[in-house]
Amino acid sequence: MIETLVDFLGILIILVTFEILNQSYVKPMINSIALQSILLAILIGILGVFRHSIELIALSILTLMVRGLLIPWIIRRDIRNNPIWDYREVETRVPSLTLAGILLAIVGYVLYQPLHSILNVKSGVLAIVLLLLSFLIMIARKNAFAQLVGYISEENALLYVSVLTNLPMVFEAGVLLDLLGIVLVGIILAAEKEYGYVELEKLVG
Amino acid sequence: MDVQNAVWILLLSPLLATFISLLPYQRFREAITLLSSMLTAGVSVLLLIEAVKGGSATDGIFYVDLYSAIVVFLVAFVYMFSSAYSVYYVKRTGDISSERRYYYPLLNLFALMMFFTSLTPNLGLMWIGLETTTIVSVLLIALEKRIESIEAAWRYMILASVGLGFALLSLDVIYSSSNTLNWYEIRLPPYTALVAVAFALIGLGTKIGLFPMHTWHPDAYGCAPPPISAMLSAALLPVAFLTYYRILSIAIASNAHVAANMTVFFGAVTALIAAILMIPQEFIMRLFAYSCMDVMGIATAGLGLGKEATLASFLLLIIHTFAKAGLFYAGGNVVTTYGTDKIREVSGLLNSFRLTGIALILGALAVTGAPPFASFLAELVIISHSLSNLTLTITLLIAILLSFLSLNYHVTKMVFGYGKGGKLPLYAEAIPLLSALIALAISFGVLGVILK
Repeated sequence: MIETLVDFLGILIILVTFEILNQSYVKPMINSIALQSILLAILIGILGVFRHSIELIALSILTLMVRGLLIPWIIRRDIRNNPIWDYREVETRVPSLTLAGILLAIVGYVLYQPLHSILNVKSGVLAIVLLLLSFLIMIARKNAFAQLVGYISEENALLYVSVLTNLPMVFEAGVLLDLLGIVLVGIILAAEKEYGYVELEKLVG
Repeated sequence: MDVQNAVWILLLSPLLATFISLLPYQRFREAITLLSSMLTAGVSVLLLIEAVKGGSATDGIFYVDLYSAIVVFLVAFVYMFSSAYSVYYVKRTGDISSERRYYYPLLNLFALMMFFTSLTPNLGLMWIGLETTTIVSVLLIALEKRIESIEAAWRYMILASVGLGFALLSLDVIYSSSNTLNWYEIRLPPYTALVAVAFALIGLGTKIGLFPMHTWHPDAYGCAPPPISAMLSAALLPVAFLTYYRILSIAIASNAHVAANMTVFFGAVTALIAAILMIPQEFIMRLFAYSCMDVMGIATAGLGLGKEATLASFLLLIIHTFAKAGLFYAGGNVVTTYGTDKIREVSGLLNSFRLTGIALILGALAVTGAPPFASFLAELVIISHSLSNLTLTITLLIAILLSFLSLNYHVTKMVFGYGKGGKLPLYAEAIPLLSALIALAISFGVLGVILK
């Protein structure tokens, strides 16, 4: 029962990630990454209650607060006053990206087969696919916000794997990864303040 | 000195310095950072002597053996030299009032996290330490406030986060089949160990600068302040190297020999590609960055070859650290006085800044493995262990030869010829020379020990 619920949430997370991958506009992309983080927070929370683990519940609250609410709020507030982000299409290769995403999901499934015997968790495949899709977002997008979204998605994937494999210190890892995310947001804001919005296209990874 | 006390001093001194240097007096910040770094350098020498004499020591929380003592020794000395050189660099580049007030606290924190990473036996804590060094060094680069440095910081951050993600996957793999993260307790089935090393090679390879993930290094070193470039290349790389060595040693203890071969392959390819990329370089700091990659590639190959080659890798790291730190400080002198970091606009350093010129020559010879530096000996040992595989030997030899020619060619162009006058405080010139001379002194020490 609990596993079914967790896997269902995992599938939802993957679907949201596909939505991010195919999204051409910045604002909906921010909403989607917030949704992805909230779904992951629920997933970790359920596992935390089920395993009676305070650490996991703390991680769930952290995920909800930082990646579900705080970072999206900062970015929304930042881009609200700039009409440039309202109609801006950051990426035009949507059909090929969708195709690449589907292929990557299949590759992830194949790649997980050798890992499965080691990790011993069946739903780990969802996390690995999520990780690969996050890398695709980071690589395919040239826009700094989209890369940030890719980073947050990658972080979610890593925490997803680590929670499934019961890694200790997963909360500390979450705090650190969140710090990295906040520093990334800080760099974007600093670059904007100094050089204007157009220059963000130059921040390619 | 007791090993445990030494460890506590190494961790507490930069921690205290981090907090104290938040106070608003520039002179005070400089003094406290210098004091802390000198203290740690002294203690690290004592720790190294203890480790050479007594093997390994652990109290459950910390673990000190020869390799971690060597890395701590390197970090401490680069920390000391960088603190001293920062006094000149920060003064020279001005605007202490604004973002620069965070420079010294971040410098201390950077050193603290590197000490922590090299002293803990827990792979998870090592990962956390390395992750924190990423945050701190990115901030130090971004504080330069130029568009290139913000861009470099962004690139570094994105790549490092991908790399550390892979490293975390490696920990997931290790933990789910061993249920512990203390590296000396872990034994894995060979296949699992191979998967763990593969992830670690991609993940930590990003930090070490191995081939497909190396691209942030030249950008970051080119845009960071020279003392921070020195810390990144001469101190952080050995720390990441040590972390990778711990994971590799698990694999070797678990009989996963393919893992060692993989390490050798990536190391040799990195060395070759870096050596080729060094030839057309136009900027001083980027040239040094590729030279770092070259040396780390050779050292990584040595790590995979095992036995004496492992020790030779660490010997190579020791010489590389002191010489490369000297090169970066000398490069800093060039950039601040000539106002350019283009190699072809710099000439006649021996005429205008004699000590800086000598430091450049010594440093370049040392990192490319010219005798009498011990790096020659280290590379000789690594080559001699690679003889069973002729392709590997040839690859390594070409890499060593190419990097020797290209680095020394570029440095020679800068050092000789007509110079233009300029003024540098004596200590700014003395620091790079001192750093390079320590590399020379250690080389003679090593030769003396071997001859005896």
